[in-house]
Amino acid sequence: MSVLSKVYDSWSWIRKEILSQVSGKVAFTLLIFLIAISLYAAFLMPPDYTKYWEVGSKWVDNPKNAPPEWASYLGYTCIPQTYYDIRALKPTVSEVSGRITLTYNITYNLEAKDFPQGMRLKVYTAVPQGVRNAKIRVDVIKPDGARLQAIIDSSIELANTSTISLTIDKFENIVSAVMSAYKDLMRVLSPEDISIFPMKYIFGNLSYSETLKRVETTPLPGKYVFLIDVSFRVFDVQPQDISRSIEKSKEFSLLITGTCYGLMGTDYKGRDLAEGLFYGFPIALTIGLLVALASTVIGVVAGLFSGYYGGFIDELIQRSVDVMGSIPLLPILILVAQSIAKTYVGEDKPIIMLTAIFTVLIVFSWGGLAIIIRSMTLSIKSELYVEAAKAVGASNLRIISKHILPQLVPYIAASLVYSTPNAILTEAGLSVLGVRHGFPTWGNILADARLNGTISQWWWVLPPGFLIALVSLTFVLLGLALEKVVEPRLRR
Amino acid sequence: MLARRAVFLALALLIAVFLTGLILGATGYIDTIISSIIDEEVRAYRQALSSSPQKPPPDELNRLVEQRKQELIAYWGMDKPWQARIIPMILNTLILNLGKTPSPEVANVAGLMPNSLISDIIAACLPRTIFMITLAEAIVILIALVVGPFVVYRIGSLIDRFIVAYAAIMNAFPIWWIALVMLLVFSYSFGVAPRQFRPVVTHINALLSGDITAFAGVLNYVWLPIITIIIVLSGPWIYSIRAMLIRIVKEDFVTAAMARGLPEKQILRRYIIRPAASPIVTNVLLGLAGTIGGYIITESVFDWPGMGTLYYAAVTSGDAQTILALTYVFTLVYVIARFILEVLYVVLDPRVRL
Amino acid sequence: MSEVKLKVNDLKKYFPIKRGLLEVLTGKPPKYVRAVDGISFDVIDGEIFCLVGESGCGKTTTGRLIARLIEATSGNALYKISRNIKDLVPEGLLVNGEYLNLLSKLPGNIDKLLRLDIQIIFQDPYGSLNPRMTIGNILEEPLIIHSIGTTKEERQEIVYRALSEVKLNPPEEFVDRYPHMISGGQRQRVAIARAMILNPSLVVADEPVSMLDVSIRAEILQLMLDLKKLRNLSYIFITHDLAVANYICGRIAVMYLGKIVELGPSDKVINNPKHPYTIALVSAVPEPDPSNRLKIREVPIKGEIPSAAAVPSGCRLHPRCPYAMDICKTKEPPTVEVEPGHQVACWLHTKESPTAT
Repeated sequence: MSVLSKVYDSWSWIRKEILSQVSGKVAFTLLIFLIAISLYAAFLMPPDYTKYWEVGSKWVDNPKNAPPEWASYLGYTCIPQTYYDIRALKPTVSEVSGRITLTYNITYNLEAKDFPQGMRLKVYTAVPQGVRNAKIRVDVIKPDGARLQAIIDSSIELANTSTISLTIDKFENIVSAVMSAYKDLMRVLSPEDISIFPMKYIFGNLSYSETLKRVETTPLPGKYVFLIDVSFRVFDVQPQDISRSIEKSKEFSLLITGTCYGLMGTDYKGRDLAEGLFYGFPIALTIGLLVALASTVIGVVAGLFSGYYGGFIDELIQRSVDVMGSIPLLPILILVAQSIAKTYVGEDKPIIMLTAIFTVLIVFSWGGLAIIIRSMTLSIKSELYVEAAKAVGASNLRIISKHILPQLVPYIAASLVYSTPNAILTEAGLSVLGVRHGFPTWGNILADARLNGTISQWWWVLPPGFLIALVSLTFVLLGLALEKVVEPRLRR
Repeated sequence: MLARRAVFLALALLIAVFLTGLILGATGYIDTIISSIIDEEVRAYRQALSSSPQKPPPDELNRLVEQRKQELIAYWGMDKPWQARIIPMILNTLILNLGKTPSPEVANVAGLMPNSLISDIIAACLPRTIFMITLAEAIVILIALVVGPFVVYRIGSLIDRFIVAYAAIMNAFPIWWIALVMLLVFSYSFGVAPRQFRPVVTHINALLSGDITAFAGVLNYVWLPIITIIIVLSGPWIYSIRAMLIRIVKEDFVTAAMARGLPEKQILRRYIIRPAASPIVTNVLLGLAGTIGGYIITESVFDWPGMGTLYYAAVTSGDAQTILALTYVFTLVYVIARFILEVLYVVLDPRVRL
Repeated sequence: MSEVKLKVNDLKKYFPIKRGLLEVLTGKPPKYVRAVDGISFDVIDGEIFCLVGESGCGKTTTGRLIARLIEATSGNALYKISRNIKDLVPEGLLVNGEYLNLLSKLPGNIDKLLRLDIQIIFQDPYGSLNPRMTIGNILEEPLIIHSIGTTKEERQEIVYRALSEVKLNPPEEFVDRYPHMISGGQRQRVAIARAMILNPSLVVADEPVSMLDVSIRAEILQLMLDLKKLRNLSYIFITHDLAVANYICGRIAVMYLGKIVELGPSDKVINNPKHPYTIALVSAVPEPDPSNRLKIREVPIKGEIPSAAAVPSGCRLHPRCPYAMDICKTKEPPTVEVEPGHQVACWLHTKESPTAT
C-alpha cells in the first residue's frame, strides 16, 4: 500500500510542477485529448484493421483523390455522393409477350459546375423460378435535351442461377450512345476521349471549339433523368413476383460518385482519410509508448546494476553504450527494415517489420538513460543515509527500491516523455522514405501520399504530418515543463 | 588516456561495419539479391541459347544451362554459407578496398555508370551533401551561436520565451515533413523553386572545377533545402546552446562580473562562453559530422543526389558493397570527429589532463 | 570473561589504493592506506568505551568495522551476543558458547540478526536521515525489515514510544515531518531513536555531537547516558573532543595513525596522560579559565599528521614527537601497563614499567 502511495505522491508532485507552467498546461490538455481520442478509436477499431485498411473494399464506392467536403469553401467545386436506393422506388411495370419490364425513373440534380467522378449501378437480387433472362438498360436524359441511350445495356442469362449479382461502373456503350445523341458532332467526336472520360460526356455540355479543333466538354449543371429498364424474359411468372423479389433484394442502387468526400477527403484508393487518421491515434500512441517504455525500463535496470554493483557488468555496460553511440542509427535502421521487407514472406510481415524496427530503436536508445541512472545511483549509493539503512539491516533490494529509485523518478519521466515521439517520428520517417511495413500508421498514409498521390493533394499530405507533429509537440512541451523538475538549477 | 579512447573508437568502427555485414547476411537479403541476379543470368543464357542459330537439342540445352548455373553459383559463392561471402567483403571495406557497384540505381545517384568504383561514387556524392546539408547546418550553428548568448543574457524576456516556444514547436515537426510542405508551397504552388533537384549536379561539378559563375546555378537549386533546414534546425540549436549557457549564467561569478559593470560582450565572451566551450564544441563537431549520413530521409524527399540518397539507393537495390562502404564512411567521419574532440578537451577544459 | 562484551584482537583494515595500468604492468607492489593497523581492546559489558583521536587516526573506521558496515582485512572481534538472539545462532559459530566473531564472514541471516544487537549512530544528523522520507518512515523502516509488529498500528505504537524515549514529544507531531523541518539536535535524537528501536545491546556512536551546536551537546549526551542506564547498553563512543570524552567516557583509548597509543580509565588518561601524543591532545583543549588566557601554552608536538598511506617506520609519532629517541625511529614500541588498567605504547615508558621487555 505504501508503495502505491509513494508512487502517487511523486506523481502528484510532478503533475503539480508540470501544471504550474504554460507549456505544462498546454501539454497536459493535449495529452488528455490524445488519450481520449485514442481510447475512443481503439474501442471502435474494426478487427484486423491492417487488412481492412490495406484492401479497402469498403471504399470501392468512394471518389478517389477527393478533397474534403468543406473544400468548397476553399474554391473547390464539390459534388456530393448521391445514392439512390432503387428498391424504394416505384417502377412502371409492363408485360409484353413473355417479357416483364420494370422502368425506374431517377432525377438527379447536378448543382455544381464539375463532373462527378463516376457512376455505378449495383444489383444483387434473387429472382423467382421461371425467369430465364434479365436485361438492364439505362438511358440518360440530359438537361440540354440530349438523350443518351443505353449507356448501360447488359444481358444476363439465368439458366443455372436464380440470383443476379452485378456491379456496372464501366460504360461499354458510351461511345455509340454519345455519337447517336449528338449526331451533328459525330465527325469531330473522338471515340477514344469518350471511352476514357465517360463522365465528361454524360454530364457535360459538348461544343466544338474552332480554335482547338476538337469537342470541348464543360460541366453541365441541371436536371438529369435516369431511366432504368430492368426486363426479364419469364415463363409463368407474375409481375408482382418480380416486383416483390426486387423489393426484397439485397441491393439495387445507383450511385453517382461525387468529387468530395468526408471530413478529410480520400486517397487514391478512395479510402476515407478521416477514418485512417482517426484510427491512427491509438496506433501512434501505442508505438511511441511501447518503445519509450521498453528503452526506459532497460535503461533504468542497466543503469541501476551498473551503478550499484559495479565491476565487470558496469564496465561492459559503459563500453557498450559508448560504442553504440558511435554507430549511426538511421542507416542501420533502414538496412534492417529494408532487408526484412525484401526477404520476408508471410502474412504477418507488417508486425515482423515493425518489431524489427522497434528492436533496433530500443537497442540504440536505452544507453542515454542508463548512463544518467548510473551516475545518480553512484552518488546516492555513497550517501550516509544509505549506509544508515544498511546498518539497520536493509537488503540491497530494499535500498535500491526505497532509497534510490524514488529519486530517479524525474529522470525516468523525462526519458519516457522524450522517447515517445521519437519512435513515432522514426516510424513515419521510414515509411515516407519508402520502407513500407504496411501497418496503417500516419506515416503509412504520408508514404502513400508521396508515392501514389501528387503533392497537390494537400488534404492527403498535410494532415498526417500535422497530427504527427501534434503528438510530438505534446511530448516536447511536457518535456519542457518537466525540465524544471529534473534540473532544479533552472528554477528561478 | 587518448590511446584507450582511440582503441574504443576504432572498435566502434569495426562493430558498425561488421554489424552491417551481419544484417545483410543473416536476414538473407544479400542472398535474395544474388539469387535473383543468378536467376536472371541463367534465364538470359537460356534465351540466348534458344534463339541462336545452332540451337542444341533439349537435353543438351538443359545441361549447358545447368552448367552455367553452377558456374554462377560458384562465382558468387552461393555454395558456401553467407558468412563466407560477407566476411571478405567486410575486410575489404575495412582496408578501403571498396570495390565496384553493380547497381544502376546507385550509380545513377552519382551520375555514373554501373560498375563504377564505389570510391568514385562516394567522391561524387559527398560534395553535394556538403554543399547542402553541412553548409546549412553550419549556418544554423552560426545563427545559434549568435542568438543563443543574446537570448541567455535576457532570460525570461519576451524574446527569450519566443525562442523557447519556437524551438519547442520546431522540435515537434519532422524535418522531412517540413521539406514536403516547402516543396508543396514553393516548388509546386508558387513555382519559385525547382521540382527536380538532380540537375544541381552539373552546376556543382562546374563550380568544383573552378567555374565561379556556376555558383548562381547551384544557389538556384540549393536555396530551398538550405532554408528548410535553417527553419527547422535553428530552434532546437538555439535552445540547446541556451541550455548549456544557462548553467553558467546562474553562477555567482557571472553575477559578480555584471555587478562590476563589465560590458555585455566581454561578459559573454570570457565568463559565459568560455566555460561552456567544451559542450558547445562537442555538439558543433558532432552535429557537422552527423550531416554526412544523418539526413537520409530529407535528402530523399528532395531527391537530392547526395550521400543519403546514395545509401537508400544502395539498400533498396541490395548493393552490399556500397552499403558496407557507406556505413564505414558514416561511422568513420563520426569517430574521427569524436577523436578530435578528445584532443580538444585537453585544450578547452583545464580540468582535464591526459 | 563474561564481563567482556566485546574483545577486539589485532584488528586491521587496509584500503588498497587504485593503481594505474602502468604500475600494474611494471609489477610495483600495491599500496595501501593502513587505516587500522592492529588494535586490540576490550569493551566491558555496560561501560562507555571511547575511541579518541584526530582525523585520520582510524577511529571511525574501527567503529564501522564493529558495526559490520565494512569488512576487516584481518583480526577478530569476539562479541557476546544477547541472550534473546543467542539461541538463533547455530552452535558451530559460537566461541566459548557465548561469543561470535564479528569479523568473520557470517551468513546473511546471522548478519541480519546482529543488526538487532549492534547499532550505530552517525556523526551527521542530516546526512544519516533520508531527506525524502518522513521521520515516521525512517523509524518504521527497521521494524519492517525485521518484521517487528505485524500491523501498521503496532509499528506506529513502537515508533511513538521510540520518539518519546528520545524526548521528541508529542510524537504524533513528528512522524509526518521531514528531516529538514526539524533542528539538528532533533534530527540527532531521531537518529538515536532509530538506533534504539531494535533494542540493541551495543551501540557504536560515531562522533554523535560533533556537528551539533555546543549548547545542544550536553542535552544529547545526557540523553545517551539516560538511555544507557535505562536499557543497560554498552557504548563504543568515538570522538575527537577530549572535553566530551571527559564528560561521558568510562575508559578511553587514544588512537594515532591506526594504532592505540594509550588506553585506560578516562580520568587517569586525561589527568595523567603518559603518551606524548595524549599529552599534546590534552594540552590542546581550549582553556576555559579566562585568567589563563595570557599564558602562552606550549602544544608539545609539531607538524601535521602524515598520510596513513605512508606510515612512518618504528613509532608512528617519531617525526613529530619532541621526545623521540633513536629506537623510536626503528622499532615499534610495545604496549606496557604503567598502572593497573592504564596502558601505553611508548619507548619512554618501557624502562619504567615493571613488565618491560
